[in-house]
Amino acid sequence: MALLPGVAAVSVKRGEAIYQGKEPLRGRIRGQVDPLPAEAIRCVNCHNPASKDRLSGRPAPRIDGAWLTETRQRHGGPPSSYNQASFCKLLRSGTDPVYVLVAREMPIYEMDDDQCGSLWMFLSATDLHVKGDANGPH
Amino acid sequence: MGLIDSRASWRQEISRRVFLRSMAAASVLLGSRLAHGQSVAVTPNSDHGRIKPPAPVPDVPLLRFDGRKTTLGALTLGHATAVQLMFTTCTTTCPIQAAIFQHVQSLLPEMAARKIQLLSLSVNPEDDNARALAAWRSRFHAGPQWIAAAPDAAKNSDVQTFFGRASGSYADHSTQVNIVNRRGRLVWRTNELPAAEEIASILRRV
Repeated sequence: MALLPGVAAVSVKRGEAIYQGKEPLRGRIRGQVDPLPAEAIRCVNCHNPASKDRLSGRPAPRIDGAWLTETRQRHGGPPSSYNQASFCKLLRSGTDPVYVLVAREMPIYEMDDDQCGSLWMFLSATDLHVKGDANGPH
Repeated sequence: MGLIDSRASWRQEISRRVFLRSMAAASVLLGSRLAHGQSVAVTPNSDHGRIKPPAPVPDVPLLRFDGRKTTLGALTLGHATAVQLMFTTCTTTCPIQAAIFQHVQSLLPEMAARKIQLLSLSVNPEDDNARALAAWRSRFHAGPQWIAAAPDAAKNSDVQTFFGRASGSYADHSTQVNIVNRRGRLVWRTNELPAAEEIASILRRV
């Protein structure tokens, strides 16, 4: 994957570019073989903290550092939290830290370690101050 | 990324409860009707798979992307039609649904000759006018056999209930694809976000 000019291989800036779709990703729906267009699988499509669910579609969690690292019940499984390794596993396989499959509309991504590490760095450093229902029912 | 935290589990639980309640109500209704010798109307309430018996689509008024008015019955008659629910400002599942229809288009270059069509049906008719629908088609490079339309607002819930699930919010609409045969009857419902190959395969056989 070609890096955007002036962006380090593993960096918050690159993570933000991936999140916003400025650096395109390859991904597909779990169980299918054909890749989806990059614009259809941008993180921000579903996890845009500024979006209004009524206008944007099926709601998804607003993700920030606290959401990722706090121990909480997710996907109906036992309480868990993410670290970089489990976060990357989720992106690549669709399973959460306690091996529960996430929703099917969450694509499975082909991401290398630098891309995944950058996205983790960006989201971990994000603070949306979201609480309770803003993160969804889990 | 699309870290959609699985509402699937609670949604499935709610669906299960709704299903069980529906089955209980249907049993009572069925027993009552059979006791009185009445025929029983079958609704396409299957989660996915073949719809038995095929169910006539609701003949609701539609506004097409080109400004023409028609009805769902007229539009589907004579064509094998794959129907998906969407709305034009949807950024989450709808671009993925559109990508799936894009792929179906590429798998079925003979669509016009075989009278096969794709129908993206808006669940937000209040906002999705012909111009919005046309822009949405252009954005996803829809060919001539891929139609976008919106139902009459008063009939929107009928359409959602028939082609997916009755939901409190149109934003959480179904991503299943419904296959309507050439007689305007629903014959198949796929899983959520099906593979394009599956849709193309069914359309070839309808």
